[in-house]
Amino acid sequence: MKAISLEHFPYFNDDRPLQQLNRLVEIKADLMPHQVAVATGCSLDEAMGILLLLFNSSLVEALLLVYHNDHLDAPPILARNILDGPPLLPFTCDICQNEIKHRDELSYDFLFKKASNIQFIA
Amino acid sequence: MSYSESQATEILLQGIELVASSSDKLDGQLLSPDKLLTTLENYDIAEWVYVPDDTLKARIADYNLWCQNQTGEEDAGELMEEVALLSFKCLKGFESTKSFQSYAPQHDLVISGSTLPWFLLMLYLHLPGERRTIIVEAKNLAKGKNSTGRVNDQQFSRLCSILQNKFDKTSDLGVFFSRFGATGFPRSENSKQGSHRKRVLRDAQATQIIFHAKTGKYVVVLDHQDIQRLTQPGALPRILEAKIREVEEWTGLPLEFDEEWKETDLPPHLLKYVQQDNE
Repeated sequence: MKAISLEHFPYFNDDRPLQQLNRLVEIKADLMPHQVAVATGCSLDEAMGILLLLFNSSLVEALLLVYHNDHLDAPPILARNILDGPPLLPFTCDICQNEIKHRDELSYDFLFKKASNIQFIA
Repeated sequence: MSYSESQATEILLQGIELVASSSDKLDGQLLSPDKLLTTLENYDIAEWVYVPDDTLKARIADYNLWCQNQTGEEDAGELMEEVALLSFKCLKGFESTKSFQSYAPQHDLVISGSTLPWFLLMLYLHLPGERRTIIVEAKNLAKGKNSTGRVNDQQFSRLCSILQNKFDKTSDLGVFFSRFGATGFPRSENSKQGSHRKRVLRDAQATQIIFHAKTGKYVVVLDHQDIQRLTQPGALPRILEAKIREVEEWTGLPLEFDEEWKETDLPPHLLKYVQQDNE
């Protein structure tokens, strides 16, 4: 179990959000910024900061999920290493087989896959 | 939940900024080789780094009005200096007025930063984090009988000299704001007409390439067309990055230097010394 200090994230100096965060991390294998924000009440920036802290400490794998705006209800068409950034264009969507030529045809989200058991401390 | 590319980039950058602010490693040094900063090489951070504000937009509008009329109370040079300063102030990481100083009459602005956004700007511009000062000189020269209104080779060389001699260890980038550009450079509006294939260098542009070849430093020129684009988010870093890349692209090309070197007789005030020696 790896202990990660959130001393520089003042919102989590309070016990309640810290417990909510640890509960979320305990039950979820994969974490997304908006999930952390909703579960704990922190801002999206803080949620992303915490997840990036884990990534920088090699405790999670970080992915950039790529969605095709023509069918946002479908699963992501790509899951790229966050280090690689958005995909180069054009390319063909595996779901609808249409060619994607412009950046505004795509949307994104982030996914962090746990590689170790983690506990956050204040 | 899904985000546009610019939203996703902003979320990522703000998260990185939070992590960096919680780290005691940002001690005037780039966080590289930490993974977080290498991540950003594949993201377009320009629109996060540069957000033009209303003050800049208003002064660019005033500058355009001045260009149309060329009359009024505005001092042309000061107006261009304001546009230059205000555009750099719109960069994240540009710190307070302590960040720049009027160092000498010869140049206008010495701009630096020490926070993460400024380091990210340096990364975006392919410049080393330890030399994160930018020297900016603004010129609003008039066209006249004996002047093209463009920064000439002498003026260009002076900024090169300042960069090399006064800021050797702290700066790799000099920037001219010049309404008509500099001598030897193609105009921005003509840049799509094959200037990337141009093989003949002369005047200030020859100095630019030679200076870069010798020192690895860059001096670039923003002209009237570039200034118009400064009202758009992301414009300034993109313009600077493109101009830095243009300088790089010249490297390795077979070049001609069009200096019109031709042998002439020594002028009388020098000839007399040669004649004296020969006697």
